[in-house]
Amino acid sequence: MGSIDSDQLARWYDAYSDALMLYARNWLGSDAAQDAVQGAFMKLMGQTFTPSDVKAWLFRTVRNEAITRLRREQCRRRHDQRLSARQTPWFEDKPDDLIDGHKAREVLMTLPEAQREVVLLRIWGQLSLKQIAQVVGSSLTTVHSRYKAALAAIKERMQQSCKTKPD
Amino acid sequence: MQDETRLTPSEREIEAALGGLRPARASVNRDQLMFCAGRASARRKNRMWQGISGFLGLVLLVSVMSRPSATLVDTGTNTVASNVQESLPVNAANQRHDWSDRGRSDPVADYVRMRRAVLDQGIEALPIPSPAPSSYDEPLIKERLKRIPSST
Repeated sequence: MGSIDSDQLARWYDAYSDALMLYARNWLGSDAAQDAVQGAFMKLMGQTFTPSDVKAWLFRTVRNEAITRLRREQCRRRHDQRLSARQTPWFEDKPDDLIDGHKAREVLMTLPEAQREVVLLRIWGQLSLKQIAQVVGSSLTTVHSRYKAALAAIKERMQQSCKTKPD
Repeated sequence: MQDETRLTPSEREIEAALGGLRPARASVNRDQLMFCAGRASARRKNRMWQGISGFLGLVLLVSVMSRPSATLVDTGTNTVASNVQESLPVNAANQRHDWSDRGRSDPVADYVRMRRAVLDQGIEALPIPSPAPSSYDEPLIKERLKRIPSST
């Protein structure tokens, strides 16, 4: 595997940047998430050899970058999250969506962080459970059980919100 | 992918509904990112050249430092002096053959050389005197005139 050229980088950027941004927002505000994603692509360009699984590599790098930034700027985290919640939506608003984007975000934010991370990687990152296990550094069984638990929790909360809507 | 997760139909339904949502567009400036990536790549190449030249400089420095020091070869005065000291008696033995050009050398040195030769080898080392010229130059004095008839 050789070094990475700018055309390859552009293709990967077009393919994965949105999902990576969404994943980075799991921990960071909008601006810091942008920096984390940009930093991951810069690191990728700085690699001497292309990683064997570029997609998983990018998600893992964004994760590491986001957690590092989170530790560094712990005190600014809540402020950033509040700001990003007001400013930047997680999902595009489309009229034909079965679930409202804002509602989905609210439900996702109620999940434990580990479960939310798995859902983001699985559904919007399109990673396999094996890749997710590599990214988060957990076993395949753990990842699988987290994913199942997260879907069950989302279903339950969606049903609750549907029941409370007519009131 | 769905087999991998072994989901129930209701969980798949939730998964599909969530999957219909499209993440908001990343607001990272794509052109800026490409520019930064290109610059980082160029910087990496520069670092490679800097590393190579630094390594070569280090090799040069080490080779200069570890070069064997030059040894002083003394071929001058000491050798000549020792040769002179060792060859003096031999030269003295050969003095008999050198008297022909004694007129060109220092008379004091000739005397010293002759004296040493006589001490070493006896009277035979004395040079054969040249008879003629000195008698012409010598003034005829009374003592000399008396000596001539007695010797004959």
